[in-house]
Amino acid sequence: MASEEESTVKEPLDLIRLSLDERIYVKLRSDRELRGKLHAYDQHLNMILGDVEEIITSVEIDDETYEEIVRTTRRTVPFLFVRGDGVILVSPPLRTA
Amino acid sequence: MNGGGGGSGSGGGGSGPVKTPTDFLKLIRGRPVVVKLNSGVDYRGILACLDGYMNIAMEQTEEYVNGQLKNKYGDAFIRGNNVLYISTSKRTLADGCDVVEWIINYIEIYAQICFVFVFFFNKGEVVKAQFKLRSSR
Repeated sequence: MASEEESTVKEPLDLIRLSLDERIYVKLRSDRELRGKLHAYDQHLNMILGDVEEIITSVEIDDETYEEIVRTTRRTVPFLFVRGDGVILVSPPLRTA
Repeated sequence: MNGGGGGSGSGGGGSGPVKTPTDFLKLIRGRPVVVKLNSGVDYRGILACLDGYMNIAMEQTEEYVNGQLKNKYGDAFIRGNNVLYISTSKRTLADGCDVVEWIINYIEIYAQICFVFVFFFNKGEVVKAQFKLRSSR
């Protein structure tokens, strides 16, 4: 397992710097996920993303059968500013290995 | 800047008393950790680094929701305001590690009798193991 210990990486934010101009996966509050290309970010995790796909997940419970219905809503946005306080997690895109 | 909530976690490893939360944060880099978020979601992985805001960078991260494994991330950055706690854990790379420990203990007994087990280390991890018959005197 390559645990990359680069001398320039001291902070978690430095690791995000390595992902600039790469596609990333962002998990947001309110059960939302984004996949897009990271153009810019700052210490608040405000981000500029390009060619973004947003996935909104909602779970409904049927009143009668009490079964959970999981729905996902998708939309694509060419250019997006994300406010940092909604960000939970940032990662390179999930690879279906 | 919020001062990190008090209470240093398990200072593991016995490398001296952990006096402040900051000491704990310096201690746990490179270790398998459990990070619990305010939302209740659990992340287990190896801590790469973290800062005073409790922003966390981890490797080989697994996401557990309600105790169930939901996702795996090669690298993950978690924004500090979501973090409820960071805790060290024995695990992460699986029960495979416990099994290896069991095997090693078992083999040690045999090794003393008839063969020698040779472990090849790289960066503190066993990367290869082979056994040779103990040469007769």
